[in-house]
Amino acid sequence: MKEKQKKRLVGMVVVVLVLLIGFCGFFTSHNIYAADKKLNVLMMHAACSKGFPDLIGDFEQKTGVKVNLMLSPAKGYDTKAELELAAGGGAYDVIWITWRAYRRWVKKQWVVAINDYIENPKLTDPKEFKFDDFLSGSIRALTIEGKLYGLPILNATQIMYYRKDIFAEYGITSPPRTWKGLLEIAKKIHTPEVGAVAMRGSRARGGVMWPFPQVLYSYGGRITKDFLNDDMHPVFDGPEAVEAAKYYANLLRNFGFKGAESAHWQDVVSAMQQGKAAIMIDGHPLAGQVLDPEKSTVIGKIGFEIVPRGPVTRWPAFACHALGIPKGVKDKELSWEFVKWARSSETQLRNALMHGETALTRKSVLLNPKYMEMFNWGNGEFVYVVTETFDKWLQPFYRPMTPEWGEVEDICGIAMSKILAGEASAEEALREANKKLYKVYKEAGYY
Amino acid sequence: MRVVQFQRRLMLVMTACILIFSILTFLYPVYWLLTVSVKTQKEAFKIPPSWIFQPIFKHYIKLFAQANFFHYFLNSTIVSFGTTVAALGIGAPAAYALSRGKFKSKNWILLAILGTRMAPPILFIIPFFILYAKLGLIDTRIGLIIVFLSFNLALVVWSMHAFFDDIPLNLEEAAWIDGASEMQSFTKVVLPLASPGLAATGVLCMILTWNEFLFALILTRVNAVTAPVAVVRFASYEAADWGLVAAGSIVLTLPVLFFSLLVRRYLTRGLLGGALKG
Amino acid sequence: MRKMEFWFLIPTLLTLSLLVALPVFYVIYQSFTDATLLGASSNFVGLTNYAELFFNDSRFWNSVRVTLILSAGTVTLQLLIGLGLAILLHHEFWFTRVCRGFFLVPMVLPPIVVGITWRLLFTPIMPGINYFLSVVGIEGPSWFGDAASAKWTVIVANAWQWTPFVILMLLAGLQSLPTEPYESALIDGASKWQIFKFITLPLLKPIIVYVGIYRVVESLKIFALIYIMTGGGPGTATEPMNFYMWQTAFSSYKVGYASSIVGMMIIMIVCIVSILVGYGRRTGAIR
Repeated sequence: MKEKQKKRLVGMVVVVLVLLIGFCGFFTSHNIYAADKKLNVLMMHAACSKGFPDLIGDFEQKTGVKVNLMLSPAKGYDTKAELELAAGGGAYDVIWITWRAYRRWVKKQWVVAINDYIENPKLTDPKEFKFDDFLSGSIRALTIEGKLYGLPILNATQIMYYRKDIFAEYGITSPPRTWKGLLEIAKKIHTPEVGAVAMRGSRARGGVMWPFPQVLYSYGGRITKDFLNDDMHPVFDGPEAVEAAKYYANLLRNFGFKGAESAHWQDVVSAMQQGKAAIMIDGHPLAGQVLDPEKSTVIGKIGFEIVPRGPVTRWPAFACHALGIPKGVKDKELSWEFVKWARSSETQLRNALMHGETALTRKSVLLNPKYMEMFNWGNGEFVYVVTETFDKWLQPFYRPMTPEWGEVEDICGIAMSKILAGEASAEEALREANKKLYKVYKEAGYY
Repeated sequence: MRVVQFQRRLMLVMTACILIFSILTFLYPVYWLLTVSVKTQKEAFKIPPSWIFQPIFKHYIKLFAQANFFHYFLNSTIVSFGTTVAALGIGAPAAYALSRGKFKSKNWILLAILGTRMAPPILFIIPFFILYAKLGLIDTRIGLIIVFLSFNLALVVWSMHAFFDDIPLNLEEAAWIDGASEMQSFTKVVLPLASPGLAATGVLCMILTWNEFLFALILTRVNAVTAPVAVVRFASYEAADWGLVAAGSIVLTLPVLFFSLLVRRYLTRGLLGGALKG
Repeated sequence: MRKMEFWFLIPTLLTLSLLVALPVFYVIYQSFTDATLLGASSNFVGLTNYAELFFNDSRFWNSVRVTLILSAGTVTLQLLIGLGLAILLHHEFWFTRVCRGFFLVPMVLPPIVVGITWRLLFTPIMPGINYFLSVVGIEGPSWFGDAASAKWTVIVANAWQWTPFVILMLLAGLQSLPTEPYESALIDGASKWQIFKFITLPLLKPIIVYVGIYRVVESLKIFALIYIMTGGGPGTATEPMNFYMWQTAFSSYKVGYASSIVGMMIIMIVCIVSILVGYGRRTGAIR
């Protein structure tokens, strides 16, 4: 009898212990991760988001919210995200909006305006948030009818990289400030081994139509008549456009490095990196590659300048991605916490210092002494040029970013490619393209 | 007499030269890719090229450590293997039936099956993409296997039917006389004899799926991305790192090279199929 | 048909009907609609797509031209060089087996690797083709920046990959030829050239035609090369029909219109193959 009772007692104690432990375990886990509070964040894989998996631990500790971060590759990102949003959008609490998709998503009301969150002192401490610190060009671009739909997360523009040593050799004292000036210098310094100019020429997306509008607009040309006021009549074959196209073709064909007429960004970067070109006009985030100590042959020889201006104006390239909140999210304020944190100056600075991000969106981070120390290319010239470009020279749009843009870019790219290959004259190719653009916009219902 | 001998020797030397030159032409580009994968970027761009240099293996290390290539490699392996097994399992019996059978529609069926190979893959892109989007099969390995099965079946049937033709009927007849059923003669007599053919056809199948690009490009996003698509992604989106791209290309190619060299004796037969009698 | 044969055949036939025949019908149906990939509704529009394609679409006709040029160019190169090398290999027996192993290499490479390799080789700022040309004093062009030379890059890369295939097939063919005609020709004192022209060629013709048809059909499928080497450029100089179709479907999202391009492709392929097979039948290549 006593044996059995002992055994029963032991059994009961064990059971109670197990229950207690389980109970406590349940409660502790309940405390570390507020079970309800979870954030699904979808970001596009890019230089700036690569570092986020390391950083979110910070946010989780500060707020007790578990973050499920998904980095999706750039290719097909829009399609993937749009399929989700079209189906109601609740799957993600915070979402990366690419520059391509921004206006489309706003038009379809898939993301919410964040002005209220910014201005609500309960949610956002203005001193901490420092809204003015964001580069004004980006904010201008992301503001549609007075409302902002996301905080800028990735800014890209183009700048001019030039070989100081080659310039010195030919007695050129300062980099060109106009396209005409650029051509003059190119004529002097171009050789078959080291081409004067390195710029994109490929018909592909992210090819020639990334740098070319800089020339086009600065000559007074346009793709559509008045994008900001919804006048989508194409004017790609106007006289200014023809002049700009002729200039670009002449520059690349006769003074570009060998292969420039069909160059992708990798070819442009390789040419500059390997010392086969003297002047490169391309994205500023590429500076890291051009001056990669392991690969580059031109370290210490590169100077930086803002892109040249044309007869009418200066119009640097511009692409701005944003971090926003989809419409179907239940706890939008929690999402706003994350967005705020992700784009705070501390996070940006840490990301920049840890992962070498250059596409920053806050002035203070760009001009932060630690950052400048790391990226002191051209002894600070790089940072200065980039900041000046973003702050002073950016216009509110760079390409007419409507849902049809993909097709429009293809049509324009093919036309420019034909001109660059000498297959068609600028007038012919642009006229043909313009006719196609007219059809595209007509089918889309703009007129 | 001496003149003729001299002429003959000249012909031999010239032939040898042409052959050596053509082998070099066919192999140099692969060698070139190999050098790019073991040179630094600076070294790879040097004109004239450096024939003697210190090889580095940084790109290969980066491939697996940073670029997560093993994941894509694994995907390719699973998809190729799965497709090959399925294609052989479904197609080999059909090839046997078409080889042995004496029914009227035999030639028509064979032609129809061959006809499916003529259809350009691009044709299937839209239906499969739309269907897969609806069924949630985008970015799945099983989705890829099904698609690849569609154009590998015809290859298996075409190839195996030639190998089965090569096996004389009287071997089977001897088995039947000994009391074996048709099924048994198939599994115990024909299949073992056809195993080199099965291996060669399997390798052919594997090569085709391993190398496939178009469907893998369109039907995958993150999880089911195969090695060829991954290598192209390096070329398009990561840094302008041709060393990495070249290293990925070489690693991508090695399995295919290895297996095809193993069965090279039978590959010709498989490819020619029924075009050549004997 | 015996029972076992029936059950052996059924899985294959079913699978192919499902995976091949059904999509074909679906595409043909789609070609009569104005469907797009962005949801929306698709309406039946009859022959509008085809009319548009036929009468208004210069880019389509350009793609047809490019398809024909690329196919003709690469297959011709493959057959000429392949035949030449096969004949040379046929003589030197101790060389043959070794060579065969080497020739296998280009054939089994993934097309994308072939594309990457040749893209690098044709890049002027790399020590590739232009470097070798400069060694013999020729200044190479900017390969991808000119319409004609861009076509050559694709033709050369494709021919490089598949000529070994032709060599192996023709070699097998040569080895299967009967020896009596040769013996009697040698007795009759025929020259090597005469033997080649009057005996080898005619006997080999069925194989050549067969391989030719195979290569033509395969050349219509070129995609990876175009994708990684030229992207269809410059302009649309290297944009064959399948690439144009891919752009229309996945960049412009016009699935209905893209299906009609496929429809035209099918018609074209059927025509080409019928002509070739007819020729093949007449020359005894196809039984």
